[in-house]
This record gives sequence, C-alpha cells and structure tokens, in this order.
Amino acid sequence: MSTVITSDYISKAVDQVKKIKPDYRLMLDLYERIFIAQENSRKTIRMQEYTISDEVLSVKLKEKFPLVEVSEFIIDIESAGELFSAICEILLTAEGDMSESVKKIIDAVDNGTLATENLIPAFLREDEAFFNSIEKDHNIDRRVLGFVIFSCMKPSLAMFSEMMEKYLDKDNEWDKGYCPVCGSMPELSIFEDNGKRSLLCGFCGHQWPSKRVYCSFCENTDHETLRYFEIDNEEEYRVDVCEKCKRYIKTVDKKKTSRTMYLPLESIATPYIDLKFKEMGYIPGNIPVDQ
Amino acid sequence: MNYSRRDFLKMAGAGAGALALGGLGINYLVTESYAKKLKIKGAKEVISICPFCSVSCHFIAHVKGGQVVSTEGDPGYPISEGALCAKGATMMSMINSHHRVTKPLYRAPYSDKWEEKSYSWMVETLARRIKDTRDKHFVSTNEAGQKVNRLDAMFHAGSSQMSNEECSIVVQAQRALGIVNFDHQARI
Repeated sequence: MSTVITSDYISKAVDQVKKIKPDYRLMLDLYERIFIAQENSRKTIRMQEYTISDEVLSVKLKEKFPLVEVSEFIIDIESAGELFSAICEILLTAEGDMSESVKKIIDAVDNGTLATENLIPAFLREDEAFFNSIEKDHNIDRRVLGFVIFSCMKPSLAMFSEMMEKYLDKDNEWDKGYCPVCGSMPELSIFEDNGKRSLLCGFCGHQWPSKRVYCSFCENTDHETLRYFEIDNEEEYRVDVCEKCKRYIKTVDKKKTSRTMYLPLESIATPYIDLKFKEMGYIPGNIPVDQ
Repeated sequence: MNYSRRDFLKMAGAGAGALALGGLGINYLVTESYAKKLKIKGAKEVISICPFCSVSCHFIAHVKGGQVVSTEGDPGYPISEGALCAKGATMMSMINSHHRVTKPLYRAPYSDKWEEKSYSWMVETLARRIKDTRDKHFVSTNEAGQKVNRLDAMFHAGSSQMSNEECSIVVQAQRALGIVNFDHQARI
C-alpha cells in the first residue's frame, strides 16, 4: 500500500530528523515549509494530456531510451509561478546571503525582469547563456535561482512523470541506471523492507527497481570495484561507491529505521555525508564530472 | 551512441541533484563539523550461491577486511526473491565454521585419521582407483550373452552446484565408464 503524503506526514518526518540532528534546525525548518508548499501545490496543478504514439513507444522501449526528454516535460506554469513566489517568501527567512539573493530575485520578478514563463522553459532546455546573462546583468546567484525554479517545478515534474508510468514496459523490468521516464540519474538508492533495491530519480522523482551489486552511473557489476561504507551511529544510511568511475550514491535502508520516511528529505538531510565523500575524492553520481 | 546519450542525460539531471540548501551554504558550518566527526566503515557485497540444493538461491555476503561478516538472501534473484530456507539462512555459520574443510583430506582404508593431501595427489589417486575398479568389475556381456557394457561396482552422486555444461561432461564420463548407478546429491 503506498503512503499518502500529507502536511502532517511531512512535518512528522522532518520533526524526527530534527530531533536526531538539532543543529540542522534552520535548514530542516526551511525544507519542511518548502515540502509542504510543494505538496499543497499538487492540488492546484492542471496537467495537460501528453501521448506517445505506439510507433515511437515501441522504439523507445526496444532501445531502452527514456520515455521523454527533459525538455518535453509539461509544467503548469501558473501553479509553478505561485509556488515560485511562496518558496521565495520561505527562503527570505533564511537570512544571510541566501535571503539577500532571494530579495534580488523577488525584486526582479516584481519589476518584470524575471518571469516564471521564461525561467522554466530556459531551465528545461538547460540554457546556460540565459542564466549566465541573468547572473551578469542582475547580480543574482544562479544557484539560488536554480534551486527556486527547480523546487517550484517539482510538483509538475512528479505529476507528469506519474502520468507517463502507464507507458513503461510492464513485462520487462528496467535494468538501466538512468530513469526510465526522463533519463536522469538517480539521487538516492533505497533498500525496501524486503531488501529489494530501488533508485529515486533526481529529476522527476520516479522510483525504479535496481540490482544490488551495480553502479548505476557506469553499469559496473564487478564486486571487486564496488564498495559501500556504513555510517557510524546512523545505521539506516550507507554510501555505495564505484572505484571504477569514482562516483557515489547515498542509500537509505528502510529496514534499519522506524522513522517516518519521506524520500525527498532523506536525500537532502545528510549534506555532511556528501562533503565527506567529496573530500575522499568521490563524485556525486548525478552531477556531471566537469562541474 | 549509448555513451553520448547518457552523458547528455547526466547533464539533464544536473540541475536537480546539484541544487540543495545544504550545498547552497545553509548550515554549512554544521555540515563541516559533522563531516569532520563522521566515522565510516568500508565493506563489500559479493553475490554467491547457496550450495545446499538444486534451487541454487543467490545470497549476498557482506565482506569486511577479507572476512564474511553477514549474509542475506539476494532480493534480485528471481526464484527466491531474497528468501532463504533454514539451511541457507545459516550460511554465515557454514562459511566461518571451524568444521569447514578447506583443504583436500584423505582417510586411508581402516584408518581413523584424516591426512592432508595435495590436489594433484587426490586427482591421481582417484583416477587410479576408478581405472582399477573398472578394470576389475566391468561387465561387457550378461549371462544371456547380451552386450551390456556396465560397471555395477561404482556409484556417482551428482551435485546441484554444477552447471548444465559440467553435468553434460560428467554424464558423458559416466556413460564412457559404464556407470549405471547414479543419483543426485539433493535426493540423498
């Protein structure tokens, strides 16, 4: 039975992590409000129909191509725009550099320089030049802007991805490391209660089954070059690394915790693990090598 | 084709994973301090096969410093989907048991002691005994004068851990020797 995500569910999941990591209260408070705003936003989304013809679908399934390209995702711009403003308001309370960056974004939106109608399509088509010019002309931190845009698109991305699931091959399990819906890399690996492994797409949030001894980034299956690291005092987490491509992915083992599990929270509540593994020379799997 | 497409796809996902408040400086000092104190222990997962019966369930052995520290059923194995029977579930104790035989041992007729022998000695001795037994007991015709070419004095027990190809070679050897008494280890 799938879990119904409500505001209370999110708050409960975040509160439990706050108790374990009180030092992260500021970050977790912000995320709690963002996650709840995203869940509430789902109720307002009007998703347009998108169909894949039988001819195109059969080629994609046969060749193991993802169902859609990232640039083909349909976003409810109106709903995303409202969420964009709500997330900016939340981030204003972060103080410091973050709130300064967000203030500039809000000002640019208010004076008509920036509009979600332009930002979202530019983000989807990975328009580097567009974001470079915003950073240069308006002195806006493009990482913060990127965070707000991506966060406001997330409910639409997830709903579009769920709509696409009906096209997935039911007879043949997806055995690739990239998302069968959008082709993006996973940001989190999950061990379910029965020990089965699944991967969570870092872009559309689709979850798909995966082999256990497998690097989703270079398809390595050699146990001699695949390792994992257990984290002391946090037994629900481990980090799977591939010595061949030097990439890592965080894994959360549901069997080893009784906490309320909200997956988007699990992937962001442990930035110190990312820092540690970057210092050890590993690269987060869903980031291109040249970044 | 595959590589260039995947590089592009990785780029596409970059906007997502790279953007998190922790990475944007929120609570960064906390992150630095947590990362410094973080203690980690490395291990490996190795998929192996349960030796007890012909289902040959896969299990995952967790290996630390060259030692198996725990075992569990492999959820990716389609037959058992991670489940193990009572025998398979005790794999850890079998692997680390002090009773486990790790070198060829030989007990001479009428002896009460096991002696350690080399593999080459074992292979040579087995071959010698098989040849001698066959030479002594091979029956080419029965009492009615019919051709039977059989060897009743030898029995072969098959193993569930053998592949189709290995089984094929073993059966051909059995037929060549004339062995007619054989069964499978799982039925014994």
